[in-house]
Amino acid sequence: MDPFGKYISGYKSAYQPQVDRGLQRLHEKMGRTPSEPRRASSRLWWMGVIAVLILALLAWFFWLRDGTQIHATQEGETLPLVLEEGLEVVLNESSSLEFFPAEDRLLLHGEAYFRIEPRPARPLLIETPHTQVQVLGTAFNLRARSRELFTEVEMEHGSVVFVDKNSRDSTVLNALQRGRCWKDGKGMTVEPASHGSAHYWRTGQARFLHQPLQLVLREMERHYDLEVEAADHLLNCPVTITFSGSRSSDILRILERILDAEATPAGTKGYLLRGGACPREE
Amino acid sequence: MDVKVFFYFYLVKESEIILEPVAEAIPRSAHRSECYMPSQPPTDDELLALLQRAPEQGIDLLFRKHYAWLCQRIIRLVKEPALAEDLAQDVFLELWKKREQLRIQASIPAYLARAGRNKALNYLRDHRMDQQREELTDERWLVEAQAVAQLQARDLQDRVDALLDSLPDRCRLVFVLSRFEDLSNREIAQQLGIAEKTVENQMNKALRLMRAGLDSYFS
Repeated sequence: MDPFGKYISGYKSAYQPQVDRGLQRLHEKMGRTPSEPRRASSRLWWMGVIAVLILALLAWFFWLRDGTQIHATQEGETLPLVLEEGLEVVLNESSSLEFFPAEDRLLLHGEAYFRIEPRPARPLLIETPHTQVQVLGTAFNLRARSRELFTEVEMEHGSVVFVDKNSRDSTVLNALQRGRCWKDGKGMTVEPASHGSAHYWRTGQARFLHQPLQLVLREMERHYDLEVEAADHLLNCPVTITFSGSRSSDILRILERILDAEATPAGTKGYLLRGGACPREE
Repeated sequence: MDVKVFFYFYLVKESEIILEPVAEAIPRSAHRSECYMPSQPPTDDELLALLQRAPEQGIDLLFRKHYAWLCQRIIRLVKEPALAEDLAQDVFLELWKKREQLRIQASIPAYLARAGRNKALNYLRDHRMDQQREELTDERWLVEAQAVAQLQARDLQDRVDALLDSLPDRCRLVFVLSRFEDLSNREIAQQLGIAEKTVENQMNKALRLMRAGLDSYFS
C-alpha cells in the first residue's frame, strides 16, 4: 500500500469548490430569517391535510414504500420516463424497468434508451439478466430481449463499462460503438454503431451509408420481423438506404432497384434477393 | 486584559448535538479598526475580532480563507460536491449565528474541521447514508470499482479517488475518519455508534479492497 500512500493522501484534493458561488449561497442563508408564522384558517388547514394525505396515498400506490419504481410497456407501446433529475429513459414496447434509487441501480428486461446527465459521485448500475452496464453520464440504447442471443448496447455519446455477468469480462464502450454480449458464452464483441438503426424504434430513422447488404438485411429483420436472404454475390454489395418510417415492401423495392435484383418469396415470412449485381460506386 | 472570544464545538452523541464551550485568547491588536483594510493577509485572530466588530466583512473574509479546504475535507466524508458545499456553508452559517457568544480555544481551522466533520456525520446518520452497499461481496465490489475507475481515471490519483469512492459506505467512512480526520478506533466507534471491533474489521476490509483494486490495475 505504501507506494500509493501519497495518492491516498491526495484523495479529493483535485476538487475545488467555487468560493464566490458558495459565498453567495451563504449570504442567501444568512438573509433567511424565520418569518412570523401565518395563521391559516382552520378550514384551509384541514384542506391542506387532506390534500397531503391523498398525495401520500397516491405516492404509495405509484412508488413502492422503499422508493422503488416499476414501469412496464405492452406490445406496440413506448413510454418516456424521467426517473429523477438527469435520468431520462424511453422504454420500448414489451419491456419492463425497475429503478432502485437508494442503490443507484436499474433492472431492465427488454429494450430502452437512456439519457443520463454526468453523475461522477453516484455511478449508475443498469442490470439486465445477463449483463451490467456501469454508467457515469451518457446516452445509449440497451437491448436485452429474451428471444435474442445477445444483449446489446449502442452508444450515442459518452462511455460506459459493459460487463458480462457470467464471465465477469468487461469492456469500455465509447461514443458511436456497439457492444454485444453473447449469451452462449461466445464473449463480447465491439463494432461501429449501427447507423442509428438501434434507435429506429424511437426515432423512426436509420441511415446506412455504403454499408454491406448483409448488414442492412440483418437490421431489416430486426425492425420488420421479415427474413430477407440474398444470393452470395450480393451479400457484400455496398448499399446506401434510409429507413424512415418506410414499409418493408418499399425497402425491398428500393433494394431491387439498387441491385437490379429480384425479390422472390422464400419460406413462410421471407424473401430471397437474387440476380443483379453490386451497384457501381459513384 | 485580553479579549476572550468563545467558540462552541459540536459533539455528535446519539441523536443530539452537544455544545461544548472552549476559550482562547485573542490579541488586543486585532481590534484596532472596525473596518478591516489589510495590507497583508489577515490572521485568523484578526478575522475573529473583525467578526465581532464588523460581522459581515468578518464572515466574508473567514469564508474566503477557509471555505475551499473545508469543502475538500467534508467531501471525503459525503462524496457529493453539492452536499459538501452545502454543509460547509452551514458551518459558516452557525459561526455567523453564534458570533456574539463565541469563545475560542482551538484554532479556527481546528474548529471548522471539527464542526464540518460533525455536520457531515450528523447528515449521514440522519439520512442513513452509511448503511448502503454493505451487501457487496469483495468480488462484486472489485468489478464495479474497476469499472468506475476505468471510466474516471485520467491518472493514478483519479484511479485511487474512484476506488475510495467505490468502497462500501461504512467501510469508506471508517477509513476516511481514521486516515484523514486522525480519529482513533475508539473515537470512530463512538462517533458512528458501532463496536471498536467493527471499526478494526472495516479498516482491514478497506485496506484489503484498496489493495485488490490497485493490484489488479498494475498487474
